[in-house]
Amino acid sequence: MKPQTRPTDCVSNLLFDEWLAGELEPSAQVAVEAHARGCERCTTRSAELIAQRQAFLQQAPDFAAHARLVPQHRAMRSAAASRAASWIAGGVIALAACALLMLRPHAHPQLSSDAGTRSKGGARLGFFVKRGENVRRGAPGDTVHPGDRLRFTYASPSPVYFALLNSDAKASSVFFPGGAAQAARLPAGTETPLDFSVELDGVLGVEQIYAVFCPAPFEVASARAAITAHTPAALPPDCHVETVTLHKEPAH
Amino acid sequence: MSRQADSFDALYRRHAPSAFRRAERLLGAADVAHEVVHDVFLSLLERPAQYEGRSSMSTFLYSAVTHACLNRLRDDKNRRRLLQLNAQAVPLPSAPQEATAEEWTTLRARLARLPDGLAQVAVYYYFDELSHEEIARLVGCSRSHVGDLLQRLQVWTQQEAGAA
Repeated sequence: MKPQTRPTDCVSNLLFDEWLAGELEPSAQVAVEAHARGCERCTTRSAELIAQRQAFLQQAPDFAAHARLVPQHRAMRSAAASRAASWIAGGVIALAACALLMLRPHAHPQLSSDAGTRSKGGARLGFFVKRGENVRRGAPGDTVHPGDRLRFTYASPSPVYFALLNSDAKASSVFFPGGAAQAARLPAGTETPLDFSVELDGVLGVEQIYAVFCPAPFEVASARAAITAHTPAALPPDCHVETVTLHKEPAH
Repeated sequence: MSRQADSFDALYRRHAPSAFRRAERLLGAADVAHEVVHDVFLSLLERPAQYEGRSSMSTFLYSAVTHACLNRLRDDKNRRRLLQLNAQAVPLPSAPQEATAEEWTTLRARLARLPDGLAQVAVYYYFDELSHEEIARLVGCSRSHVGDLLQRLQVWTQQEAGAA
């Protein structure tokens, strides 16, 4: 196989693709643009990629249009294509599309569990961070900024009572359910989005988020007291708490 | 059309062109590349959980398109057809790598025979011309492991040449 021809300091196709998709962090974006401005090869390459992109989108400006392009020589493929086209036309993809862009489900939320108990295959919490127009999956230990928005998902094999609490350097509060004395009953779900989002305030430092899952109803205030007192044993039996630690730093 | 449907179309518009570019380059046939792109996006629409927090949608799609193309190349019927396209192969982009249609056909035939792990790395390294670090990000392993895989790939290529 032929050796690579791309000079190592030139922008790779992957980086160009991430740049064109608006996926790069601002510093990486600036670096790509600065390099491309001063590099004939990368200037040419970026122009080529942009032209290819425009040509493709002229041919297939949206997914339904693309589905019509695909040869229909296989019955199964044909059925899938028409199913997809009809979903889009009917707007039936609401949850799937929403999940992709804002509340993308995931099988392994990788949340820490440092309080209470957690049974294998039990309820889980996930979250996503929206910064400007970019949405990414969140993970414990993430650095976040004031103004970032968090959206949460849960997965549970059975109905569960749930509350989402937080504490930062200044105070603790209840994210969910807002204003209710009792925990919310959630139906069984597989990575189901919770219908709210939180915009992070300007209090910097460590932010802890606690997801309390219980098989029976419980009072949110009691759960909050147990969490803030670091006494998860005070929670009702068979509850478990997942804890996510975030580091809130100023945006540069 | 719903706001959410608009959002999926926005995702399609951002990523489908590059997915198609790679599929067309890997397969050498625009119609099959369109099928691959369609399959990948339809699959994403139906089972969004497969995204599973890749570092970016681009990295997820690089991997998904690569898998889909390798499957096409491995499928006997498809492979015969794709390899027959040799002389009529799609015009290849002038960069980043120049190769004759015959060389591309040879590459595709080799990819079809390679074990999966090596085939992926071969695609990222020789077709996409990515760095070890970028390949490690796509495959989910260390840079040194990528180096090991590329060495194994060289050995495999030499053994195959010796056997031929």
